Amino acid sequence: MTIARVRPAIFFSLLALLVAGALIVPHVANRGVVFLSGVVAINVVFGIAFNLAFAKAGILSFGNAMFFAVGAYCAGYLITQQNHLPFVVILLAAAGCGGLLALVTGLLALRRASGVYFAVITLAVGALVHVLIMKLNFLGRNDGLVGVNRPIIDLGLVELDLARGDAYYYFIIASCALLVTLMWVLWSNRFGRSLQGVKSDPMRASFLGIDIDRKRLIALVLSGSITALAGAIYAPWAQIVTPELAHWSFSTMPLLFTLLGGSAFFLGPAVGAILFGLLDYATRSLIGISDLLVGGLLLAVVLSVPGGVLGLLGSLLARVRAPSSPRREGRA
Amino acid sequence: MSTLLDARGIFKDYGRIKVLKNVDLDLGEGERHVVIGPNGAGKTTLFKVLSGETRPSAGTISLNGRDVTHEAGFMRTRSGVGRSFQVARVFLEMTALDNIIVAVEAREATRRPWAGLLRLSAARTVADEAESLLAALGLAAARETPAETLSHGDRKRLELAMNLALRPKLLMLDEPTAGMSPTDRQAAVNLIDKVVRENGLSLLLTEHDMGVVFQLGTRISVLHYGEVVVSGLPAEVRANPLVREIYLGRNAGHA
Repeated sequence: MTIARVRPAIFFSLLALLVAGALIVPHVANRGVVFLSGVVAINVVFGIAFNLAFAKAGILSFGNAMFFAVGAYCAGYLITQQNHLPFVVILLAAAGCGGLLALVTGLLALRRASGVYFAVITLAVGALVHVLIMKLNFLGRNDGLVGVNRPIIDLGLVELDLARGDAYYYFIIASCALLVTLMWVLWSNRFGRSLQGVKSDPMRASFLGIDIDRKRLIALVLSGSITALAGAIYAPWAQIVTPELAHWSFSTMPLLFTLLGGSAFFLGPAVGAILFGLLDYATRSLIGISDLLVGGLLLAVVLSVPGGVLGLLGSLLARVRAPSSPRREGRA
Repeated sequence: MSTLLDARGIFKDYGRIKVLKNVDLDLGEGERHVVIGPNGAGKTTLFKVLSGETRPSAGTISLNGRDVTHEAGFMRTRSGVGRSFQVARVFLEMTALDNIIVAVEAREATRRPWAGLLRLSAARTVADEAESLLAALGLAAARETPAETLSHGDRKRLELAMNLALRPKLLMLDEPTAGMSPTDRQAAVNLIDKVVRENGLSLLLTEHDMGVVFQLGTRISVLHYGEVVVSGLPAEVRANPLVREIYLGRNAGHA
């Protein structure tokens, strides 16, 4: 299982499969399911952005809720207050804010603390951001921002009205596919390999001439800005932005997706996010015990299958193939 | 012969424990300098200070005439120092070939940080270079083997290959034959000798085994309680009565 030879065909066919599945949804399901499907697509980006820092660079961050919230609030504020700005500029501003927050957090804590200590610091910064959002008038305090309309993208010759029909849903799928591809490149190329070295043995990496502090910081900033982008895409989809997005408990979501799907696999968090969405949907009518059921199931999976669903599939596949041919399955 | 590495007046304290006391050590180009000394003499600490893993409490270190005392380890690596560890440090979950590829890519990334980032697989030239290093160090059979399943000796060779991938001028090896059987040890010595000669490297190593010391060293320094007590040609050091007393002990005759 080499990491130096990447096979784009496997990745792109899996991505195509996911995108095709997502594109079918509006034709076969009701508006509620379409909404959930859009949320799942955003969660896929949310989860993979977390795992890029977690599995590749060894950074355990509980600050991903704040990155998401910062992106969502940035988009929410600009859409409601500065409506003349092009949506692309708004998205870039959100990514910039998320990246900046990640940069500050990283500079503050990444050199000093690693592992659990860093996680606790991100938790603290996240709590600070949460309180800040709840206290700031222009961010709507406890109520958040409402009326975050879906934008119109002006491409010069054509105007894309994302408010009409399922247009914004298709926009979500397209932009999420783009972000996932971007992250896959970062995961697979020389940068990703050096990140893996930094995580695997920081001392060895450093004595290969790799600036490990800088690599970790870059990984965190990338993770933070892409997470903020996911938040910014989410805001007009929900049309409301609330402080719950910044609550620390929301930071456990990408971790959950990752553990559920398998952190060793690039698409692990994607599988986790989709499974979680299905689970959430299947138990939606069981008010009260829904959370309990979802939590229990997740606990069972995480405890019994430490490598996640993809890890389990991989080992099953290896067992089936073992007698006939030597192991050859690649990590997508 | 110009001086490659020059350390002057190195002190290193861990809290109240003084590990290194006024150590002077230099290494000329093409020289093979071996630091010996009993356990706890401060060899590994000296190594850490010289490679940049830790900073000295006092003293200066220069590399190629440039003061690097306050430079981090990775910066010294970038200016041509390869370093091994007593227990080989390699990327355990990666295959042997991938380990070397990551090392080659690290070297390339230092030279041209933004080139080739859109390329996904390792470049053909990088992969070829890694393959030939693998073959040169006799690890071709371990190509696809994850480093965690390699034997101790193979890991040491892999670590050496990763260091060579950096194309260093100076190779620092911390007890390269520690924990090896006599046959493995001789093979390792021959390999190091060959690698150093073929690549025109300078060598700084710490070692316990006297056979290794006298086969590889062109100069020997003896560290004792954090101080360099003797430094000179192997023959001089071997003849020195103080060295016999503090380090070689009863086995002096065999050395």
